[in-house]
Amino acid sequence: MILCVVLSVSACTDNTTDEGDVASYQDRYFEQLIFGASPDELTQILTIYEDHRQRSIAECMRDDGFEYTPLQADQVFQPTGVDLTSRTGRAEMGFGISTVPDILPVAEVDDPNISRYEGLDEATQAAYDVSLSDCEATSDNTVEAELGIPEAVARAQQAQLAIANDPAVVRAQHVWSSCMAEIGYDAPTETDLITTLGLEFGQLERGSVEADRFRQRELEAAVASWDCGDELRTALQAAVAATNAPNT
Amino acid sequence: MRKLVTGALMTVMLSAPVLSAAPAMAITPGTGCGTATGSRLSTASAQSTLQQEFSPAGTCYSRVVIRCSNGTQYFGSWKKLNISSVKTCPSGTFIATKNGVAFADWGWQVGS
Repeated sequence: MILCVVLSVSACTDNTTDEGDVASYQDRYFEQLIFGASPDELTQILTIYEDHRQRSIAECMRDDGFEYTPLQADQVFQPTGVDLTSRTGRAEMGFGISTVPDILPVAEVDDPNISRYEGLDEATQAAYDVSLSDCEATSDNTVEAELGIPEAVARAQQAQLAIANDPAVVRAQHVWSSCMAEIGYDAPTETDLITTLGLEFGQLERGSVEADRFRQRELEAAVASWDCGDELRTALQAAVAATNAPNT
Repeated sequence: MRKLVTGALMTVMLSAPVLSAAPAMAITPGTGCGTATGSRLSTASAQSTLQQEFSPAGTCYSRVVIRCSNGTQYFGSWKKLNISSVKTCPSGTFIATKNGVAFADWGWQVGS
């Protein structure tokens, strides 16, 4: 199986499995689960996955006697552009509540396999449908295993337990909460704050003056939360590092 | 277990997905392809199916759309009448919510 999971999607020159590349990918996957990722980093991580998945689907379909053209990653997913990992990102997109459309624009049918599919007779189409569904499911499992994703998720779950029990994190969480309370936001955690704001936005009419005002508040709250979170980010990093040294 | 979440920590088992979502609505409302309906299969998966087709056979496709807690919108494969389009969020993530409603959507478009 071709495996090329380095920092770019390109270098895919032989059929060997590079354990270092897998470890690197696993670390990146873990990091984005725990700390989030910038839209660029997230797109890279997901593109590597999707490229592998599409190749796997094509191989599986070929084994079933069908031609399948791998889709490009941007035909399968679309980042919203929300970036909670930087102050700048928060200033631009807030928490992604009022700043992201309820649904992003959807392209016209853009699957190159459709025209080939339409040339099949009805019975063959039915067989193709079954094969594609099976191959999509199988490929998810195959590629996840290849890239070490189950291990990354398990590590993230372990890290989360450690975080929840870390005294320094608990203290820093209180610091964050007190800091936010001083500027009028009463929430124990940022997740609670986002949930509360989301429910509030849900009561507003889209495009109204109130919704515009909310958007401004959301951006301000997202930045304020970042500013109040210095100690907490440090504590989280330390807690994760102490309990989940990657690949050791 | 108390949730301890801040900054960019928006991860695996946290109970409150943070990104935008909306009640079910058609992706591309219109006439000619009937109705696509869908449902959530789990916290991370959803499916949709085009159930009626009024236009000439072979021209209508539907697919499910989900928004996941990693801030990404995913599309299931285009499927014809009565064939389910299924999509699952990446491992460790789940379908995001907004206003307490899961963001899973479905609809149809006319194929080329």
